[in-house]
Amino acid sequence: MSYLVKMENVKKTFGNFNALDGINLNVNPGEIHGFIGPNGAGKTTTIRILLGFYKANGGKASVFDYDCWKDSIKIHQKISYVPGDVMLWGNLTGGEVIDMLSNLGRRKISEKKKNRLIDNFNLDINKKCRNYSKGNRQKVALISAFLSDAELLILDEPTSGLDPLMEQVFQEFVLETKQQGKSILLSSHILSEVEKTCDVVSIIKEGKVIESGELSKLRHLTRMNFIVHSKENLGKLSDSKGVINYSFDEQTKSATFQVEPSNVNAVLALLSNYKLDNLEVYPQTLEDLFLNYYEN
Amino acid sequence: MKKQYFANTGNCVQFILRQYKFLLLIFVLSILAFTIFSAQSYLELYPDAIERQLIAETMKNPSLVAMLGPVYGSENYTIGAVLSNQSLLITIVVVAIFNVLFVVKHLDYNENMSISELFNSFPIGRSAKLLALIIIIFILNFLLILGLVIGLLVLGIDSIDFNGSILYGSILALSGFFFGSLTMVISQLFSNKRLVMGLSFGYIGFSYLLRAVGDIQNNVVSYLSPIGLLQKSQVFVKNYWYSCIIILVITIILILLALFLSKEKDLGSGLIKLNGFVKRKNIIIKSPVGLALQIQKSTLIVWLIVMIILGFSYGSIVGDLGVYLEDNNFLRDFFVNSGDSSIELEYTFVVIKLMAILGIVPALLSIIGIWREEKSFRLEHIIAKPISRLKLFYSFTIPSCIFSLLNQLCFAGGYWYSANEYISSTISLSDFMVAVMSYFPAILFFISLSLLFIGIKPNLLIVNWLIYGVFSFLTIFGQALGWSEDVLNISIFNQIARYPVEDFNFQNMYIILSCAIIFNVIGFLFYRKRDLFNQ
Ligand SMILES: Nc1ncnc2c1ncn2[C@@H]1O[C@H](COP(=O)(O)OP(=O)(O)OP(=O)(O)O)[C@@H](O)[C@H]1O
Ligand SMILES: [Mg+2]
Repeated sequence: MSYLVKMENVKKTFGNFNALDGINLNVNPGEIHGFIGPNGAGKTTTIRILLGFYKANGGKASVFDYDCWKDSIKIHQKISYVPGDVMLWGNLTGGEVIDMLSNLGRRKISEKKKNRLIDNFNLDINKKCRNYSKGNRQKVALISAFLSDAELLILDEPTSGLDPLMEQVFQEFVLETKQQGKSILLSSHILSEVEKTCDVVSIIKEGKVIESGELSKLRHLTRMNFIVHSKENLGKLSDSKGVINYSFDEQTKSATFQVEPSNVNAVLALLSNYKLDNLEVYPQTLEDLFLNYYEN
Repeated sequence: MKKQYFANTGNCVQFILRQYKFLLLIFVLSILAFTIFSAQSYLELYPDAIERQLIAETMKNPSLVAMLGPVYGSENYTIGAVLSNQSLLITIVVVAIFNVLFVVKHLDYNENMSISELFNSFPIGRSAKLLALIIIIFILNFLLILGLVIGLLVLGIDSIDFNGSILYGSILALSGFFFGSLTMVISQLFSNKRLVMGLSFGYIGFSYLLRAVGDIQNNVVSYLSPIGLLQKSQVFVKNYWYSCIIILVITIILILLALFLSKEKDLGSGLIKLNGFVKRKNIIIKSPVGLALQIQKSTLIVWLIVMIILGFSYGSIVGDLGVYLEDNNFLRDFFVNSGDSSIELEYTFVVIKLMAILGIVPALLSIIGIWREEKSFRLEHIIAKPISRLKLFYSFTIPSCIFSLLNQLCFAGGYWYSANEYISSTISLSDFMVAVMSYFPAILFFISLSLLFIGIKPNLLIVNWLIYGVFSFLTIFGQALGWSEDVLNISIFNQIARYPVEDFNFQNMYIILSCAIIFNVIGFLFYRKRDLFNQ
């Protein structure tokens, strides 16, 4: 078994709308995989295909080498899932839901771990779910997921309702899960959320995975920010090859623009034709990178 | 109390009225329309005094007294007396329910904190919203009096005079005002909306039952119920005002109490804290069936009780059937259609059929549970566990079928218990049970039909209700409307023989059952293949 999750050119249409337009996604065993994209990119759709809730219109999707549609029960035996919008039964208490979900999962759970999770997430399990806030409902689902001892956790925007303190607790349990050799697929629209825990990220946009790889390698994709001060007229730069988002500030007499990593040498050569007072070059932050992706 | 508590009450009144004026208007108009139309139709139904006299005797039947209240003025049963006897009680209850709902909607409970926080962050006095609500409820019920007086007097019926009309309006208005204020007090004490609603509606129900007990035994117990007390006004007969005055005084006390309590209370909390007070046993759910039962538990129990009560009530009038049907042409046509057997037996057949039709409602409500779970995304947690769609599907289907069977048994039990004295000479218990159960395949048919839609496309469930509506209409009214046999036979309820007068129709039973099984299986095949949560 090479990949835990393997999706090849998976397509999904709703009516005549292409929600997924050929998704390729691979998750290795023991990996925390961040699945990032803007609203409506297709994260939830992808996850629902993995769980066998939706049937793909094309391509191949498998988890643990089991077909996601045909063998979903076998997959469900080894995974745990936290939906994006956690809806619970108003009449049951949080504790009852946690117990029910572990009963239905037919896995032995450790009371000790359960109490530790409830303590750390600071959840009042005696309240009826009807009275829970969004974050509290999410905690119920997260506690059930971490408790389940599943080999793969699939979490759809697990931290969207959590406060910063709880987000930290969540990250601790993610790392603990990883140390036990288990894997997590975690969707989000915010990079900083996954940056701390994920080894690998895939970026999805408009139903396609447009970038995938280790976070450290993705950093190579970031553009360089240039700020150039010069008494000469820099106007010609704006049309030059490799210069993006050129703007000139009259007051400070400085030009600001971005350059793709592959064009940095060419642009530097170009700049050597001018007499410069000052030159600042620094890489974009990852957050900027994602904004690049989100924008175009 | 300090003035600052009530700062900006006027704005609150405007704010609420702006949003709800149409709802309030529609409510007042509906009550008006109902009252006027009933008065008008009594005039047409019982135009002469002798006929009304007979009805008055009928109304003294204990089960009718329990349902509608005591008969006043039976020696001179005027149209006014008929109106206060037959329409007043139900209207009192409806007005009470509306007022409770309106109050609950507008007070702060722990659930809708964000809205009320927004509201209260404006410079609005702590008790202003409560006072605003009191004012609105007052206006609402005052309009009710005004409308009723005008409406009733316009009818120009002799026995419905000015004095009586004002009293009639006041009784209804005070019912609303009283139960509304009571809800306000309860809302100050508890923060949980459902608890407040439960207590308020519970009290309405309790008052209704209390007066039923008192009215049947004709004793003082009715006076202990606000609803019973209001009925004691004998409106349009004696026009006593004392009950209205008593209720008004109590209402004013309740309002003052609510205002007093409201200044002590935190936003979104109640004066009585229930945290850790209501402890119940932990519910343990181990299977999808357990979940299906758990989420429907209270509804299922209520329906079973309703079926017993209905069976019992329908059964309890079998003995007096002769009297009822003699007086009422419509009912006689309705019940005695092909009368070669006794009236009691014919009536029994009709009731069995009606109860089968009614029994489909809870059956469908319960089976649609599987779709409700999906639509609300709660099913995501369940279906992500190693539970097959087959298991899930039948975890809802089988309990629904068993529940429907129990419903019919409950009805049959209640009916036989109260009616066997009169029908056991013409039909044996086992034949009676076979007659009841001969409709069970029709119930299964509808359960399976809804499963078919849930499997193919749940949005089509409305079609299921439509078919049900058409079939029921054909069955209940078709004959009276004189429609042809062919049209009537479209309804599967008409395909079931009236055993034991007719031979049991095995062929039709097999056809209906086969349809049910086919729908069920096809429904599942589609359910297995379709996307879940894709709406
Ligand atoms: N059942 C459906 N019918 C029609 N269109 C759908 C359906 N479900 C999703 N879509 C569309 O498919 C696209 C992808 O939706 P999806 O829910 O997968 O996005 P997402 O990445 O999870 O977004 P978010 O971050 O907002 O949760 C969206 O444009 C959405 O409108
Ligand atoms: Mg989503």
